[in-house]
Amino acid sequence: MTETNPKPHILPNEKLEEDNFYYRESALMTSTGSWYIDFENKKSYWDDITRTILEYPLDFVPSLKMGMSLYAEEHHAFIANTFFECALSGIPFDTEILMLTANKRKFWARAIGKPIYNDAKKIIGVRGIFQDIDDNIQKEINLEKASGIVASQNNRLFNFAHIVSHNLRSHSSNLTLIVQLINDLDTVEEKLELLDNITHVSESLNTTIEHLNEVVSIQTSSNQLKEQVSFNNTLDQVTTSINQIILNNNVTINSDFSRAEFIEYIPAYLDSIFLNLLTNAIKYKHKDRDPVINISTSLDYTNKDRIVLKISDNGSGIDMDKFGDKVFGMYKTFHYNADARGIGLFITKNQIESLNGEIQVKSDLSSGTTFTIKF
Amino acid sequence: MKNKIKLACIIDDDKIYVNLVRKIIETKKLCDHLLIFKDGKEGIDYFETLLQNFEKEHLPEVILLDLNMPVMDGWEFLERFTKIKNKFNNPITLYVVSSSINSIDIEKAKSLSSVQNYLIKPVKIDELEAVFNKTA
Repeated sequence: MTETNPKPHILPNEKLEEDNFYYRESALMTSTGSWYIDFENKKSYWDDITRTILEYPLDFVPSLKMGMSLYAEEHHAFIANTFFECALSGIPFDTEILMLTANKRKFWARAIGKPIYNDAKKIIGVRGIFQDIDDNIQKEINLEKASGIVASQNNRLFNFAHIVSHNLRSHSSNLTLIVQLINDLDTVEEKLELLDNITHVSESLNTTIEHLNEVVSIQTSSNQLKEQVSFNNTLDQVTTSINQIILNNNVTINSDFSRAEFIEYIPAYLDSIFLNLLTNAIKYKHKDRDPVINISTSLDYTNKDRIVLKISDNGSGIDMDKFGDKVFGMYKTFHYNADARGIGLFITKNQIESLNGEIQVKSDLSSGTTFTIKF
Repeated sequence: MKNKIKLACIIDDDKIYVNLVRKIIETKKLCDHLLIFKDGKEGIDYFETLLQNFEKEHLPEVILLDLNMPVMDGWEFLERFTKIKNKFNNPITLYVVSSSINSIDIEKAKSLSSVQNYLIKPVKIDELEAVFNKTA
């Protein structure tokens, strides 16, 4: 391309001011600040917008020593590497990074930098911009969270569809079998005998549908109002309601909620979680010892806003090698107990996950089982 | 009928299904005796004990095995049964009978050498007859 209208070497003053105005406006509107690091004079320069973005006073004079303090600690290694590649090898960068303002507020920025050469092709500095893109990144993060929730709901829905089809199929196939037999048998007496089976099928069908209803109601009621619930009161209510079972089995329950006494939660869910995990621990007690159940709360190690609930027992344990992935499945029972119905832990897991929490289990056939819930 | 089956075995936790199949077998006189186990664990315990004290008349000729069962499911039973099957020196024909219509389950079961075939519940009376006549 040839320049038909070559730039004049000297711009009139008016034109300079006008240009300056437009550059400043676009820098302000896009929250983009400029900076230059001068290796020869060992100095660092910021424009006013860089100062504003980083929450420094407008008369602040940056120094080369500041370096890392502008970035969030988790990105120190990354920015050091990126910057040195630019300063030493001349590799320009354009990246997204967590920065730290003068007030120690973290925000996401786009950082662009390029090497500046002197006539001898030696790198004498790095020039670049910082752009505050925190709003966009926060939106992206929220979007990712939302998509994670959708994915997990979709996953639960898929499991549910699988359960429905499997559980209902077994009843419908029994009905089909009965009809075949009725058609095949010769005498009325024999045919009438089969009516009893129909009663059984209809009973089990009803039970299955009740269970499925329980599961569906979790999905629809997870947007119920959360309230401030006390762990201690919940435990009291639940132990009162199963008092007879506790006495009959000589159960000891130790609790320590001192590190987190309250939680914002759906009260009915917390009741149900306590009830399922406690009755579970008692049902699967060890045959040689009385049940001892320890319940405690704490704050998550990495995220102090998250409350963790631990319930451990000294029961007969679950063979994790065999059943690890099935513990929370529907209609999975691992013991010969007559009252095992294989729905409690499935419901518990669904309730916890519908409020974005998680539940994990550790178990040992000799010492017992520990459930850990992160709310 | 040439050789009627003497002993058959059902491993299934669905009591209603077991009762109905028992009724069909009795009505159609498909075999003389029936062994019933409510899960894979009871089933494999029986076969492993039988291997120690072998008596031919206690060895079933046909096994109808469910997949989805508590305590020990059909898959684990198959794994352990396959290891001891050949030590009996008598043919044992095993059919998987399940309400799972999941093609992964079906393909997996059919690929196992110890599985004769995969029957989807509800089984039909003539299917059952065919199983017992083919084996006999």
